Amino acid sequence: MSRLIRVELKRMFRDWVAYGIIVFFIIFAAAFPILTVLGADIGEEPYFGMCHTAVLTILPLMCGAFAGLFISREFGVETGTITIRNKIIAGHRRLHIYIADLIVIAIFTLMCYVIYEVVVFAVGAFLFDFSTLSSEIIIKQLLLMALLIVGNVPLCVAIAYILRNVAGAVLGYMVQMVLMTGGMLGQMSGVFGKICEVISRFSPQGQIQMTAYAMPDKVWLTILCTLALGLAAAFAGGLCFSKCDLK
Amino acid sequence: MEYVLTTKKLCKHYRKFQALDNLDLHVEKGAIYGLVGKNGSGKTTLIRIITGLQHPSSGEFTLFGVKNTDNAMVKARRRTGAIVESPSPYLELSAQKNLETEYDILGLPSYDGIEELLAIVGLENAGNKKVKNFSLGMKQRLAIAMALCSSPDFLVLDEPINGLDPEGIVELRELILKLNREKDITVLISSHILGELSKLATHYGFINSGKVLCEISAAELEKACGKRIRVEVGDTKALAQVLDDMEMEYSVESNTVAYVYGKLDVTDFVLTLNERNCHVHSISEHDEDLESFYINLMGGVSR
Repeated sequence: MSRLIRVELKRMFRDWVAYGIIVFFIIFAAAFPILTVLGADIGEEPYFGMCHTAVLTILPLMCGAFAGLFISREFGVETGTITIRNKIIAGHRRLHIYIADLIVIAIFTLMCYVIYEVVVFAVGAFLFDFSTLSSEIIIKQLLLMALLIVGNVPLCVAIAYILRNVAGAVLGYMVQMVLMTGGMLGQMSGVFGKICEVISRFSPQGQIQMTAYAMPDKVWLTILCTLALGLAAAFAGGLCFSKCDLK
Repeated sequence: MEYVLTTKKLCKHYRKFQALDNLDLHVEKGAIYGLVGKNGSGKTTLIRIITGLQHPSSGEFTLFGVKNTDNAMVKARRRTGAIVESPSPYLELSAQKNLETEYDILGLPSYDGIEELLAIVGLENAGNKKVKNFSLGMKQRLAIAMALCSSPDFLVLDEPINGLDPEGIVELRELILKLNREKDITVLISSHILGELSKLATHYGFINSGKVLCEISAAELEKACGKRIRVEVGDTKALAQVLDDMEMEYSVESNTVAYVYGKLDVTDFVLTLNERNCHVHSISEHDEDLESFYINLMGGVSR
Protein backbone atom coordinates (compact mmCIF):
# COMPACT_ATOMS: atom_id res chain seq x y z
CA MET A 1 0.00 0.00 0.00
CA SER A 2 2.94 2.34 0.68
CA ARG A 3 3.77 1.95 -3.00
CA LEU A 4 0.30 3.17 -3.97
CA ILE A 5 0.58 6.12 -1.58
CA ARG A 6 3.90 7.11 -3.16
CA VAL A 7 2.45 6.79 -6.68
CA GLU A 8 -0.58 8.94 -5.85
CA LEU A 9 1.44 11.62 -4.06
CA LYS A 10 3.75 11.81 -7.06
CA ARG A 11 0.85 11.97 -9.48
CA MET A 12 -0.95 14.59 -7.40
CA PHE A 13 1.98 16.97 -7.54
CA ARG A 14 2.31 16.52 -11.28
CA ASP A 15 -1.13 18.14 -11.58
CA TRP A 16 -1.41 21.94 -11.73
CA VAL A 17 -4.76 21.81 -9.88
CA ALA A 18 -2.93 20.83 -6.66
CA TYR A 19 -0.76 23.93 -6.96
CA GLY A 20 -3.84 26.01 -7.83
CA ILE A 21 -5.54 24.95 -4.59
CA ILE A 22 -2.38 25.68 -2.56
CA VAL A 23 -2.15 29.17 -4.08
CA PHE A 24 -5.84 29.69 -3.32
CA PHE A 25 -5.25 28.80 0.34
CA ILE A 26 -2.32 31.20 0.57
CA ILE A 27 -4.45 34.06 -0.83
CA PHE A 28 -7.40 33.01 1.36
CA ALA A 29 -5.22 32.92 4.48
CA ALA A 30 -3.63 36.29 3.71
CA ALA A 31 -6.92 37.99 2.80
CA PHE A 32 -9.06 37.17 5.85
CA PRO A 33 -6.98 38.87 8.58
CA ILE A 34 -6.71 41.97 6.37
CA LEU A 35 -10.46 42.00 5.68
CA THR A 36 -11.22 41.50 9.39
CA VAL A 37 -9.05 44.48 10.37
CA LEU A 38 -10.43 46.63 7.52
CA GLY A 39 -13.97 45.81 8.65
CA ALA A 40 -13.14 46.86 12.23
CA ASP A 41 -11.41 50.08 11.05
CA ILE A 42 -14.50 51.35 9.26
CA GLY A 43 -16.49 50.97 12.43
CA GLU A 44 -18.18 47.71 11.66
CA GLU A 45 -17.97 44.47 13.50
CA PRO A 46 -15.01 42.31 12.52
CA TYR A 47 -15.50 40.54 9.23
CA PHE A 48 -18.60 38.31 9.41
CA GLY A 49 -18.61 39.09 13.12
CA MET A 50 -15.83 36.61 13.67
CA CYS A 51 -13.27 36.94 16.41
CA HIS A 52 -9.56 36.80 15.67
CA THR A 53 -9.26 33.20 16.83
CA ALA A 54 -11.93 32.23 14.31
CA VAL A 55 -9.98 33.83 11.47
CA LEU A 56 -6.83 32.13 12.72
CA THR A 57 -8.14 28.66 13.32
CA ILE A 58 -11.73 28.05 12.21
CA LEU A 59 -11.84 29.08 8.56
CA PRO A 60 -9.42 26.41 7.30
CA LEU A 61 -12.25 23.95 7.90
CA MET A 62 -13.09 25.03 4.36
CA CYS A 63 -10.08 22.88 3.43
CA GLY A 64 -12.39 19.89 3.48
CA ALA A 65 -14.74 21.40 0.93
CA PHE A 66 -11.97 22.44 -1.42
CA ALA A 67 -10.12 19.18 -0.99
CA GLY A 68 -13.43 17.51 -1.86
CA LEU A 69 -13.42 19.31 -5.19
CA PHE A 70 -9.85 18.24 -5.78
CA ILE A 71 -10.50 14.66 -4.74
CA SER A 72 -13.46 14.31 -7.04
CA ARG A 73 -11.54 15.84 -9.89
CA GLU A 74 -8.59 13.53 -9.34
CA PHE A 75 -10.55 10.35 -8.85
CA GLY A 76 -13.27 11.39 -11.25
CA VAL A 77 -10.53 11.66 -13.84
CA GLU A 78 -9.02 8.37 -12.71
CA THR A 79 -12.22 6.35 -12.75
CA GLY A 80 -13.61 8.26 -15.73
CA THR A 81 -10.55 7.54 -17.86
CA ILE A 82 -10.34 4.12 -16.25
CA THR A 83 -6.70 4.52 -15.27
CA ILE A 84 -7.64 3.07 -11.89
CA ARG A 85 -7.82 -0.35 -13.52
CA ASN A 86 -4.06 -0.26 -14.14
CA LYS A 87 -3.64 -0.67 -10.39
CA ILE A 88 -6.11 -3.56 -10.18
CA ILE A 89 -4.57 -5.34 -13.16
CA ALA A 90 -1.15 -4.81 -11.55
CA GLY A 91 -2.40 -6.92 -8.66
CA HIS A 92 -3.30 -4.39 -5.99
CA ARG A 93 -6.24 -5.13 -3.73
CA ARG A 94 -9.15 -2.76 -4.20
CA LEU A 95 -9.32 -1.99 -0.49
CA HIS A 96 -5.62 -1.03 -0.51
CA ILE A 97 -6.20 1.27 -3.48
CA TYR A 98 -9.10 2.92 -1.64
CA ILE A 99 -7.27 3.32 1.67
CA ALA A 100 -4.15 4.65 -0.10
CA ASP A 101 -6.24 7.30 -1.84
CA LEU A 102 -7.91 8.17 1.46
CA ILE A 103 -4.52 8.64 3.12
CA VAL A 104 -3.16 10.72 0.23
CA ILE A 105 -6.14 13.07 0.28
CA ALA A 106 -5.93 13.37 4.07
CA ILE A 107 -2.24 14.29 3.70
CA PHE A 108 -3.04 16.86 1.01
CA THR A 109 -5.88 18.37 3.04
CA LEU A 110 -3.74 18.58 6.18
CA MET A 111 -0.99 20.17 4.09
CA CYS A 112 -3.44 22.84 2.92
CA TYR A 113 -4.40 23.39 6.57
CA VAL A 114 -0.77 23.80 7.62
CA ILE A 115 -0.17 26.24 4.74
CA TYR A 116 -3.23 28.25 5.81
CA GLU A 117 -2.08 28.39 9.42
CA VAL A 118 1.48 29.40 8.55
CA VAL A 119 0.27 32.21 6.28
CA VAL A 120 -2.56 33.41 8.53
CA PHE A 121 -0.31 33.58 11.60
CA ALA A 122 2.41 35.34 9.59
CA VAL A 123 -0.04 37.99 8.32
CA GLY A 124 -1.93 38.08 11.63
CA ALA A 125 1.28 38.86 13.51
CA PHE A 126 1.32 42.29 11.85
CA LEU A 127 -2.41 42.98 12.29
CA PHE A 128 -3.60 41.34 15.51
CA ASP A 129 -2.57 41.80 19.10
CA PHE A 130 -1.63 38.23 19.90
CA SER A 131 -1.14 39.06 23.60
CA THR A 132 -4.93 39.27 23.97
CA LEU A 133 -5.39 35.74 22.64
CA SER A 134 -5.32 32.65 24.79
CA SER A 135 -2.63 30.28 23.56
CA GLU A 136 -4.52 27.40 25.17
CA ILE A 137 -7.67 28.12 23.15
CA ILE A 138 -5.64 28.58 19.96
CA ILE A 139 -3.86 25.25 20.41
CA LYS A 140 -7.09 23.46 21.29
CA GLN A 141 -8.81 24.90 18.24
CA LEU A 142 -5.89 24.05 15.96
CA LEU A 143 -6.02 20.44 17.11
CA LEU A 144 -9.81 20.35 16.87
CA MET A 145 -9.69 21.69 13.33
CA ALA A 146 -7.02 19.18 12.29
CA LEU A 147 -9.24 16.39 13.59
CA LEU A 148 -12.38 17.75 11.96
CA ILE A 149 -10.58 18.27 8.64
CA VAL A 150 -9.29 14.69 8.56
CA GLY A 151 -12.66 13.42 9.79
CA ASN A 152 -14.45 15.05 6.86
CA VAL A 153 -12.15 13.65 4.16
CA PRO A 154 -13.70 10.13 3.98
CA LEU A 155 -17.11 11.58 3.07
CA CYS A 156 -15.66 13.43 0.05
CA VAL A 157 -13.65 10.36 -1.02
CA ALA A 158 -16.67 8.07 -0.63
CA ILE A 159 -18.88 10.34 -2.74
CA ALA A 160 -16.17 10.59 -5.42
CA TYR A 161 -15.68 6.83 -5.51
CA ILE A 162 -19.35 5.93 -5.45
CA LEU A 163 -20.34 8.42 -8.17
CA ARG A 164 -17.03 7.99 -10.01
CA ASN A 165 -17.09 11.36 -11.74
CA VAL A 166 -16.59 15.07 -11.21
CA ALA A 167 -20.30 15.46 -10.47
CA GLY A 168 -19.49 13.83 -7.13
CA ALA A 169 -17.61 16.93 -6.06
CA VAL A 170 -20.50 19.22 -6.88
CA LEU A 171 -22.93 16.91 -5.10
CA GLY A 172 -20.68 16.68 -2.03
CA TYR A 173 -20.40 20.42 -1.83
CA MET A 174 -24.15 20.92 -2.38
CA VAL A 175 -24.98 18.40 0.36
CA GLN A 176 -22.82 20.38 2.78
CA MET A 177 -24.42 23.67 1.77
CA VAL A 178 -27.95 22.28 2.03
CA LEU A 179 -27.17 20.82 5.46
CA MET A 180 -25.75 24.14 6.63
CA THR A 181 -28.68 26.16 5.29
CA GLY A 182 -31.17 23.69 6.74
CA GLY A 183 -29.37 23.74 10.06
CA MET A 184 -29.24 27.54 10.18
CA LEU A 185 -32.90 27.98 9.25
CA GLY A 186 -33.94 25.31 11.70
CA GLN A 187 -31.98 26.83 14.56
CA MET A 188 -33.18 30.35 13.74
CA SER A 189 -36.85 29.37 13.55
CA GLY A 190 -36.62 27.02 16.49
CA VAL A 191 -38.34 24.32 14.44
CA PHE A 192 -36.61 20.98 14.74
CA GLY A 193 -33.91 22.88 16.63
CA LYS A 194 -32.36 19.76 18.15
CA ILE A 195 -32.31 17.87 14.85
CA CYS A 196 -30.79 20.87 13.08
CA GLU A 197 -28.13 21.15 15.75
CA VAL A 198 -27.19 17.48 15.27
CA ILE A 199 -27.03 17.96 11.49
CA SER A 200 -24.77 20.96 11.99
CA ARG A 201 -22.43 18.90 14.13
CA PHE A 202 -21.94 16.46 11.23
CA SER A 203 -21.56 19.09 8.52
CA PRO A 204 -18.24 20.96 8.13
CA GLN A 205 -20.21 24.08 7.23
CA GLY A 206 -22.27 23.73 10.39
CA GLN A 207 -19.11 23.17 12.41
CA ILE A 208 -17.67 26.43 11.07
CA GLN A 209 -20.83 28.21 12.06
CA MET A 210 -20.81 26.69 15.55
CA THR A 211 -17.14 27.31 16.24
CA ALA A 212 -16.72 30.68 14.54
CA TYR A 213 -17.72 32.61 17.64
CA ALA A 214 -16.39 30.36 20.39
CA MET A 215 -15.40 26.80 21.07
CA PRO A 216 -18.40 24.50 20.47
CA ASP A 217 -20.41 23.82 23.58
CA LYS A 218 -19.83 20.09 23.39
CA VAL A 219 -16.45 19.56 21.73
CA TRP A 220 -16.55 15.84 22.41
CA LEU A 221 -19.92 15.54 20.65
CA THR A 222 -18.70 17.41 17.57
CA ILE A 223 -15.59 15.21 17.41
CA LEU A 224 -17.65 12.08 17.93
CA CYS A 225 -20.15 13.02 15.24
CA THR A 226 -17.39 13.85 12.73
CA LEU A 227 -15.42 10.68 13.43
CA ALA A 228 -18.56 8.54 13.29
CA LEU A 229 -19.52 10.04 9.95
CA GLY A 230 -15.93 9.69 8.69
CA LEU A 231 -15.72 6.03 9.67
CA ALA A 232 -19.15 5.27 8.24
CA ALA A 233 -18.24 7.01 4.98
CA ALA A 234 -14.86 5.23 4.77
CA PHE A 235 -16.54 1.87 5.38
CA ALA A 236 -19.34 2.51 2.87
CA GLY A 237 -16.97 3.85 0.21
CA GLY A 238 -14.49 1.00 0.67
CA LEU A 239 -17.23 -1.62 0.59
CA CYS A 240 -18.84 -0.09 -2.48
CA PHE A 241 -15.52 0.10 -4.36
CA SER A 242 -14.62 -3.48 -3.40
CA LYS A 243 -17.90 -4.85 -4.73
CA CYS A 244 -18.46 -2.70 -7.79
CA ASP A 245 -17.85 -3.71 -11.40
CA LEU A 246 -15.41 -1.54 -13.30
CA LYS A 247 -15.13 -1.09 -17.02
CA MET B 1 -1.32 -30.31 -19.81
CA GLU B 2 -0.37 -27.09 -18.00
CA TYR B 3 -2.92 -24.32 -18.18
CA VAL B 4 -2.37 -20.64 -17.48
CA LEU B 5 -6.10 -19.94 -17.38
CA THR B 6 -9.12 -22.17 -16.96
CA THR B 7 -12.71 -21.22 -16.30
CA LYS B 8 -15.39 -23.53 -14.99
CA LYS B 9 -19.09 -22.77 -15.35
CA LEU B 10 -18.31 -19.07 -15.19
CA CYS B 11 -21.41 -16.89 -15.13
CA LYS B 12 -21.89 -13.15 -15.13
CA HIS B 13 -25.19 -11.36 -15.30
CA TYR B 14 -26.05 -7.70 -15.21
CA ARG B 15 -29.55 -7.62 -13.78
CA LYS B 16 -31.51 -9.68 -16.35
CA PHE B 17 -28.80 -9.79 -19.02
CA GLN B 18 -26.69 -12.96 -18.98
CA ALA B 19 -23.25 -11.92 -20.29
CA LEU B 20 -21.49 -15.21 -19.46
CA ASP B 21 -23.40 -18.45 -19.26
CA ASN B 22 -21.54 -21.42 -17.72
CA LEU B 23 -18.44 -20.59 -19.72
CA ASP B 24 -15.65 -23.20 -19.79
CA LEU B 25 -12.34 -22.15 -21.30
CA HIS B 26 -8.79 -23.52 -21.24
CA VAL B 27 -5.69 -21.53 -22.18
CA GLU B 28 -2.58 -23.69 -22.41
CA LYS B 29 0.80 -22.43 -21.30
CA GLY B 30 2.74 -21.02 -24.25
CA ALA B 31 -0.33 -20.65 -26.46
CA ILE B 32 -1.57 -17.68 -28.40
CA TYR B 33 -5.25 -18.14 -27.71
CA GLY B 34 -7.58 -16.35 -30.09
CA LEU B 35 -10.95 -15.52 -28.56
CA VAL B 36 -13.45 -15.19 -31.37
CA GLY B 37 -17.01 -13.96 -31.07
CA LYS B 38 -19.36 -11.28 -32.28
CA ASN B 39 -20.10 -8.04 -30.41
CA GLY B 40 -21.83 -8.71 -27.11
CA SER B 41 -20.83 -12.36 -27.06
CA GLY B 42 -19.05 -11.95 -23.70
CA LYS B 43 -15.38 -11.63 -24.70
CA THR B 44 -14.71 -8.36 -22.89
CA THR B 45 -16.75 -9.43 -19.85
CA LEU B 46 -14.59 -12.54 -19.59
CA ILE B 47 -11.41 -10.44 -19.84
CA ARG B 48 -12.70 -7.97 -17.23
CA ILE B 49 -13.35 -10.86 -14.83
CA ILE B 50 -9.92 -12.41 -15.40
CA THR B 51 -8.20 -9.08 -14.79
CA GLY B 52 -10.17 -8.41 -11.60
CA LEU B 53 -12.20 -5.48 -12.86
CA GLN B 54 -15.43 -7.37 -12.38
CA HIS B 55 -16.59 -10.19 -10.15
CA PRO B 56 -18.20 -13.37 -11.51
CA SER B 57 -21.82 -13.97 -10.52
CA SER B 58 -21.07 -17.68 -10.13
CA GLY B 59 -18.58 -20.30 -11.29
CA GLU B 60 -14.84 -20.08 -10.91
CA PHE B 61 -11.61 -19.59 -12.77
CA THR B 62 -7.96 -20.34 -12.10
CA LEU B 63 -5.00 -18.19 -13.11
CA PHE B 64 -1.62 -19.92 -12.94
CA GLY B 65 -3.38 -22.64 -10.96
CA VAL B 66 -4.71 -20.21 -8.35
CA LYS B 67 -8.47 -20.16 -7.80
CA ASN B 68 -10.18 -16.78 -8.06
CA THR B 69 -11.39 -17.01 -4.47
CA ASP B 70 -7.87 -17.58 -3.07
CA ASN B 71 -5.92 -14.72 -1.55
CA ALA B 72 -2.97 -15.69 -3.76
CA MET B 73 -4.95 -14.48 -6.81
CA VAL B 74 -3.51 -10.99 -6.24
CA LYS B 75 0.00 -12.42 -6.76
CA ALA B 76 -1.12 -14.41 -9.79
CA ARG B 77 -2.46 -11.21 -11.34
CA ARG B 78 0.97 -9.61 -10.96
CA ARG B 79 2.18 -12.08 -13.60
CA THR B 80 -0.42 -10.73 -16.01
CA GLY B 81 -0.35 -7.74 -18.35
CA ALA B 82 -3.56 -6.57 -19.98
CA ILE B 83 -5.26 -4.15 -22.29
CA VAL B 84 -8.99 -4.13 -21.68
CA GLU B 85 -11.17 -2.71 -24.44
CA SER B 86 -9.49 0.70 -24.74
CA PRO B 87 -6.13 2.08 -23.63
CA SER B 88 -6.10 3.61 -20.15
CA PRO B 89 -3.09 5.90 -19.77
CA TYR B 90 -3.09 9.21 -17.86
CA LEU B 91 -3.87 11.68 -20.63
CA GLU B 92 -2.16 14.64 -18.92
CA LEU B 93 1.14 12.79 -18.67
CA SER B 94 3.67 11.96 -21.36
CA ALA B 95 4.30 8.39 -22.53
CA GLN B 96 7.54 8.36 -20.53
CA LYS B 97 5.77 9.57 -17.34
CA ASN B 98 2.95 7.08 -17.87
CA LEU B 99 5.44 4.24 -18.00
CA GLU B 100 7.23 5.64 -14.92
CA THR B 101 3.86 5.68 -13.09
CA GLU B 102 3.23 2.09 -14.16
CA TYR B 103 6.69 1.13 -12.90
CA ASP B 104 5.86 2.83 -9.59
CA ILE B 105 2.53 1.00 -9.36
CA LEU B 106 4.34 -2.27 -9.95
CA GLY B 107 7.01 -1.34 -7.43
CA LEU B 108 9.91 -1.81 -9.83
CA PRO B 109 13.19 -0.56 -8.39
CA SER B 110 14.32 1.61 -11.33
CA TYR B 111 13.06 3.02 -14.60
CA ASP B 112 15.53 0.96 -16.63
CA GLY B 113 13.82 -0.58 -19.58
CA ILE B 114 11.39 2.26 -20.33
CA GLU B 115 13.36 3.41 -23.37
CA GLU B 116 13.48 -0.17 -24.63
CA LEU B 117 9.73 -0.53 -24.14
CA LEU B 118 9.08 2.71 -26.04
CA ALA B 119 11.30 1.45 -28.85
CA ILE B 120 9.53 -1.94 -28.92
CA VAL B 121 6.16 -0.27 -29.50
CA GLY B 122 7.57 2.36 -31.85
CA LEU B 123 7.10 5.37 -29.58
CA GLU B 124 10.76 6.20 -29.03
CA ASN B 125 10.30 9.64 -30.63
CA ALA B 126 7.07 10.46 -28.79
CA GLY B 127 8.13 9.68 -25.22
CA ASN B 128 7.82 13.26 -23.99
CA LYS B 129 4.61 14.14 -25.83
CA LYS B 130 1.46 14.35 -23.72
CA VAL B 131 -0.79 11.36 -24.28
CA LYS B 132 -3.87 13.57 -24.82
CA ASN B 133 -2.24 14.58 -28.12
CA PHE B 134 -1.71 10.96 -29.22
CA SER B 135 -3.69 9.27 -31.99
CA LEU B 136 -5.71 6.17 -31.02
CA GLY B 137 -3.04 3.98 -32.58
CA MET B 138 -0.30 5.65 -30.50
CA LYS B 139 -2.39 5.22 -27.34
CA GLN B 140 -2.83 1.57 -28.22
CA ARG B 141 0.93 1.16 -28.60
CA LEU B 142 1.49 2.87 -25.26
CA ALA B 143 -1.10 0.59 -23.65
CA ILE B 144 0.84 -2.41 -24.94
CA ALA B 145 4.06 -0.97 -23.50
CA MET B 146 2.27 -0.47 -20.17
CA ALA B 147 1.02 -4.06 -20.26
CA LEU B 148 4.61 -5.22 -20.81
CA CYS B 149 6.08 -3.23 -17.90
CA SER B 150 5.71 -6.12 -15.48
CA SER B 151 7.43 -8.58 -17.87
CA PRO B 152 4.24 -10.66 -17.72
CA ASP B 153 3.95 -14.41 -18.22
CA PHE B 154 0.41 -13.95 -19.48
CA LEU B 155 -0.68 -11.16 -21.76
CA VAL B 156 -4.39 -10.41 -22.21
CA LEU B 157 -5.20 -8.25 -25.20
CA ASP B 158 -8.76 -7.16 -25.90
CA GLU B 159 -9.07 -5.97 -29.49
CA PRO B 160 -5.47 -4.70 -29.60
CA ILE B 161 -5.57 -4.03 -33.34
CA ASN B 162 -8.30 -1.37 -33.00
CA GLY B 163 -7.05 1.97 -34.23
CA LEU B 164 -3.77 0.68 -35.60
CA ASP B 165 -2.74 1.46 -39.17
CA PRO B 166 -1.76 -1.45 -41.47
CA GLU B 167 1.92 -0.98 -40.65
CA GLY B 168 1.10 -0.94 -36.94
CA ILE B 169 -0.94 -4.14 -37.28
CA VAL B 170 2.00 -5.95 -38.87
CA GLU B 171 4.38 -4.62 -36.18
CA LEU B 172 2.01 -5.67 -33.39
CA ARG B 173 1.65 -9.12 -34.91
CA GLU B 174 5.42 -9.52 -35.07
CA LEU B 175 5.74 -8.23 -31.51
CA ILE B 176 3.19 -10.72 -30.16
CA LEU B 177 4.86 -13.59 -32.02
CA LYS B 178 8.27 -12.48 -30.74
CA LEU B 179 7.05 -12.24 -27.13
CA ASN B 180 5.41 -15.63 -27.40
CA ARG B 181 8.36 -17.39 -29.00
CA GLU B 182 11.31 -15.70 -27.33
CA LYS B 183 9.92 -14.92 -23.88
CA ASP B 184 7.42 -17.77 -23.72
CA ILE B 185 4.58 -15.39 -22.90
CA THR B 186 1.13 -16.93 -23.14
CA VAL B 187 -1.26 -14.61 -24.95
CA LEU B 188 -5.04 -14.37 -24.84
CA ILE B 189 -6.18 -12.15 -27.67
CA SER B 190 -9.69 -11.20 -28.70
CA SER B 191 -10.24 -9.75 -32.12
CA HIS B 192 -12.87 -9.25 -34.76
CA ILE B 193 -10.27 -9.26 -37.48
CA LEU B 194 -10.22 -12.99 -38.10
CA GLY B 195 -7.73 -12.84 -40.96
CA GLU B 196 -5.22 -11.20 -38.65
CA LEU B 197 -5.98 -13.58 -35.81
CA SER B 198 -5.42 -16.59 -38.06
CA LYS B 199 -1.83 -15.40 -38.63
CA LEU B 200 -1.15 -15.46 -34.90
CA ALA B 201 -3.23 -17.89 -32.93
CA THR B 202 -2.15 -21.38 -31.99
CA HIS B 203 -5.51 -22.07 -30.32
CA TYR B 204 -9.02 -20.72 -30.76
CA GLY B 205 -12.03 -20.36 -28.52
CA PHE B 206 -15.31 -19.52 -30.24
CA ILE B 207 -17.74 -17.75 -27.96
CA ASN B 208 -21.38 -16.87 -28.51
CA SER B 209 -24.06 -15.63 -26.07
CA GLY B 210 -21.64 -16.07 -23.18
CA LYS B 211 -20.85 -19.71 -23.97
CA VAL B 212 -17.80 -21.33 -25.50
CA LEU B 213 -19.08 -23.15 -28.59
CA CYS B 214 -15.81 -24.77 -29.46
CA GLU B 215 -12.15 -24.79 -28.43
CA ILE B 216 -9.76 -25.96 -31.07
CA SER B 217 -6.04 -25.78 -31.83
CA ALA B 218 -4.82 -24.20 -35.05
CA ALA B 219 -3.63 -27.63 -36.21
CA GLU B 220 -7.03 -29.19 -35.49
CA LEU B 221 -8.74 -26.30 -37.21
CA GLU B 222 -6.62 -26.86 -40.29
CA LYS B 223 -7.70 -30.50 -40.35
CA ALA B 224 -11.33 -29.65 -39.66
CA CYS B 225 -11.47 -27.05 -42.38
CA GLY B 226 -12.48 -29.01 -45.45
CA LYS B 227 -12.34 -27.80 -49.00
CA ARG B 228 -15.15 -25.63 -50.24
CA ILE B 229 -16.22 -24.98 -53.76
CA ARG B 230 -17.01 -21.51 -54.99
CA VAL B 231 -19.78 -21.59 -57.58
CA GLU B 232 -20.73 -18.56 -59.66
CA VAL B 233 -24.07 -19.00 -61.39
CA GLY B 234 -26.76 -16.89 -63.07
CA ASP B 235 -29.35 -17.59 -60.36
CA THR B 236 -28.55 -18.79 -56.84
CA LYS B 237 -32.22 -19.63 -56.16
CA ALA B 238 -32.05 -22.42 -58.74
CA LEU B 239 -28.66 -23.40 -57.38
CA ALA B 240 -30.09 -23.63 -53.86
CA GLN B 241 -32.89 -25.93 -55.05
CA VAL B 242 -30.39 -28.23 -56.76
CA LEU B 243 -28.14 -28.32 -53.69
CA ASP B 244 -31.12 -28.98 -51.41
CA ASP B 245 -32.13 -31.90 -53.67
CA MET B 246 -28.55 -33.18 -53.49
CA GLU B 247 -28.59 -32.71 -49.67
CA MET B 248 -25.40 -30.66 -49.82
CA GLU B 249 -24.27 -28.03 -47.32
CA TYR B 250 -23.82 -24.57 -48.77
CA SER B 251 -23.87 -20.88 -48.08
CA VAL B 252 -25.15 -18.21 -50.43
CA GLU B 253 -22.87 -15.17 -50.60
CA SER B 254 -24.75 -13.07 -53.17
CA ASN B 255 -27.28 -13.38 -56.01
CA THR B 256 -24.63 -15.07 -58.14
CA VAL B 257 -22.09 -16.64 -55.76
CA ALA B 258 -22.41 -19.55 -53.34
CA TYR B 259 -20.02 -21.86 -51.49
CA VAL B 260 -20.60 -25.60 -51.42
CA TYR B 261 -19.06 -27.72 -48.67
CA GLY B 262 -18.14 -31.38 -49.04
CA LYS B 263 -17.42 -33.56 -52.07
CA LEU B 264 -19.30 -32.67 -55.21
CA ASP B 265 -19.78 -34.63 -58.42
CA VAL B 266 -19.12 -31.69 -60.70
CA THR B 267 -20.45 -33.30 -63.91
CA ASP B 268 -23.84 -34.27 -62.39
CA PHE B 269 -24.01 -30.92 -60.62
CA VAL B 270 -23.46 -28.89 -63.80
CA LEU B 271 -25.85 -31.05 -65.84
CA THR B 272 -28.60 -30.68 -63.24
CA LEU B 273 -28.13 -26.92 -63.16
CA ASN B 274 -28.27 -26.88 -66.94
CA GLU B 275 -31.60 -28.79 -66.82
CA ARG B 276 -32.96 -26.05 -64.56
CA ASN B 277 -31.77 -23.35 -66.98
CA CYS B 278 -29.19 -22.10 -64.49
CA HIS B 279 -26.06 -20.91 -66.22
CA VAL B 280 -22.74 -21.79 -64.55
CA HIS B 281 -20.13 -19.03 -64.90
CA SER B 282 -17.32 -20.61 -62.89
CA ILE B 283 -16.46 -23.31 -60.35
CA SER B 284 -13.31 -23.17 -58.26
CA GLU B 285 -12.01 -24.99 -55.18
CA HIS B 286 -11.09 -23.02 -52.03
CA ASP B 287 -9.69 -23.99 -48.64
CA GLU B 288 -12.07 -23.12 -45.80
CA ASP B 289 -10.50 -20.51 -43.55
CA LEU B 290 -11.05 -19.30 -40.01
CA GLU B 291 -13.73 -16.92 -41.15
CA SER B 292 -15.85 -19.53 -42.87
CA PHE B 293 -15.28 -21.96 -40.00
CA TYR B 294 -16.55 -19.27 -37.63
CA ILE B 295 -19.53 -18.47 -39.84
CA ASN B 296 -20.45 -22.14 -40.11
CA LEU B 297 -20.12 -22.55 -36.37
CA MET B 298 -22.43 -19.60 -35.79
CA GLY B 299 -24.99 -21.13 -38.12
CA GLY B 300 -24.02 -19.47 -41.40
CA VAL B 301 -24.79 -16.08 -42.83
CA SER B 302 -27.47 -17.30 -45.19
CA ARG B 303 -28.60 -20.82 -46.00
